Amino acid sequence: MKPTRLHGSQKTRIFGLIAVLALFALAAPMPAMAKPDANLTAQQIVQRANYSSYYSGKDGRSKVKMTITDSQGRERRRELTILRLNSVVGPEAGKGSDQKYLVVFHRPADVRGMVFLVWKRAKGDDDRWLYLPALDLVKRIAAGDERTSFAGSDFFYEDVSGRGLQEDEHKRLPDEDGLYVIENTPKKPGSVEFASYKVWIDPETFIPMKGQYLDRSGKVYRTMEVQAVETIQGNPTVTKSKIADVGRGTTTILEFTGVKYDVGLPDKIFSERYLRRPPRKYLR
Amino acid sequence: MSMMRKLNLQSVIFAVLAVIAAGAPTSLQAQVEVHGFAELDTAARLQDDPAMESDFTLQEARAQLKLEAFGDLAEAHVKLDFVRDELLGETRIEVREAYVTATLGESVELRAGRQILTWGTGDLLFLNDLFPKDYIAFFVGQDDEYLKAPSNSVKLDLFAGDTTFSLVWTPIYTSDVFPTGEVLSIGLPEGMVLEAKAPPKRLGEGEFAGRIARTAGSTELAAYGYYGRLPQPMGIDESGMPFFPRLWQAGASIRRPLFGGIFWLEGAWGATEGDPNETVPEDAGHAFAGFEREMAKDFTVGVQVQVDAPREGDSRTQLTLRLTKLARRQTVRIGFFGFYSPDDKDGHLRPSISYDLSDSVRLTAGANIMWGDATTPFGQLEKNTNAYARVRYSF
Repeated sequence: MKPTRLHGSQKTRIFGLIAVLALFALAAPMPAMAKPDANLTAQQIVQRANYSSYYSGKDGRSKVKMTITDSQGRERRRELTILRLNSVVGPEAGKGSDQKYLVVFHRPADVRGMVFLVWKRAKGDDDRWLYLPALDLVKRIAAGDERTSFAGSDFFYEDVSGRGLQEDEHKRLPDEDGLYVIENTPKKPGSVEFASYKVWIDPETFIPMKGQYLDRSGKVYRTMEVQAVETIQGNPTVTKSKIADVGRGTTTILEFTGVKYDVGLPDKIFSERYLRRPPRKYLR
Repeated sequence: MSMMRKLNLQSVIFAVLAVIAAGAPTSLQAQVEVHGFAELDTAARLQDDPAMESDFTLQEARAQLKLEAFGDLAEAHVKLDFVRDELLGETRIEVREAYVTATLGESVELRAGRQILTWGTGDLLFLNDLFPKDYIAFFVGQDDEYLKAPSNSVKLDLFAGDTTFSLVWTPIYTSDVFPTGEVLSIGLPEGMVLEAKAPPKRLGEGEFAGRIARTAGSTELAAYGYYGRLPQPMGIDESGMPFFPRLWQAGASIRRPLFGGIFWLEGAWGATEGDPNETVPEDAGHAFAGFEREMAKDFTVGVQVQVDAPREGDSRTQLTLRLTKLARRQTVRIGFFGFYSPDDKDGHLRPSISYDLSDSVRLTAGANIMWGDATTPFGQLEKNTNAYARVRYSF
């Protein structure tokens, strides 16, 4: 009897299966392996959480798929690519540091080709520009309210690029299910729609896995939930998250694909030149 | 009707060349994408206009097809509008864009072909942007994007750090598209249309526009220069015929954040040329300043003031106001834009509302309301005051 040889196609199938399993292993929410450290202060925890949420790597690229579902079950979809560059690299960046963002819209068709450039400043107002391809127009956008819907979704600008740590008082509550629990109260209550919000942070990855926003009557009206985390180039990365507006009955799911860190994004692409003609090399 | 709204041979040649040029260097790795929209537009006059046969200012079905091909060294963009125009009783193809962009080394870009060009800081006000506008589209109720008309041009950009040098050459002069009495009445007796002497279509009779732009921190600065002709036939020759006088213009602009909003200021000085037996507009200084700010969640207010001051004679001041309110998860957009001149007591109001029925279908309704004395810029269009509706499917 001849020894069984694997055909090319079978080999491909097996490697395919391994690859799929490996992906599943990566995509599965990571169990909190590390135990919470009783010595960490609220400030230290939120700083590390801010770092792992918004400042990983020297730079980053991800493709975002947004599914917005209204109270009647109707869906709207958005697709965009985000390029991000840090001015400070490493955990120190988590204290809050300047960043540049280039956001290229792919879907829906009527906003396709629109590009959004943000110079995010830790101190002072952000600079924002919007490019409208039909008019070949570069429009300057006022910094505006950070708690305004991003692209018509349940996510706010702040959820996409981070909320300044100095804007809230942070208090560590007793741990729950092996997660840090932080209560955040705004220093200027009139400037935001919430009275406070609570986040549950993974002690190993420092990713906020869950969040609840409370209104003035103490009722939860908005929730955030991370549904998938992957380790990409050593950086724990949220690849799927969901925000629900309990009052309106709407939800938005964000899925991140093609995430890459340390792409080598040059500073010059965050300028009017590339706002008018996005750098396809880095978008692929 | 102006030549620009019709398909011309030159544009077709550009479109074909753009496709070939994009395909040639990139045939191995070209990525081609096709998008566009289809829409129905209708706009009705809100009053009788004895000079015009039709009660409508717009009645058309329009499909736009956008083709893009990307290669490593060059890319091509072609945008074609297929139009069934019930008002003029014609079917036509408009080539809105057909150009190739080539990257020549690290810091030089060249774009050649039929293209839509915009620069400057104004909101529906243009001083240093003398690229062609379509003021028929603007008043009849078409989408805002049709205010910008294409030109067959070559644009060269040089990028040096925070400074960009741009030069645009339009070999054959391209004027604005402006009301002549055919689609929009301008106070002429019925059957009469405004005719103007077309400038010679020779190389060397074209237009040059340049800009040096610099970003310094949050502040954007720019200086501009132009040599060509006034975009509308504001000169009168010895036989009484309107023509497009020669124009030299220089200007500058600044734009930066201020008081939680955006502030902009732009100015220009224009000098016209004419023979002794021709009448041309006075040399004139122009300036506008504007400010825009989000006043409440999803509610933005913008104001501008413009002054046009000829060397001799009366100046004209014009104010604008923009209000934008987004509602229902940004699927409803309520907009208002108004022009008003306290000197001439004329104005133009543009209220509009749109609703995104789905990701691909948008319904829009609005109006263009013009008033003033028959001799004023908006007053002469008073009888064209209209309300419009549009449904657009994007893909």
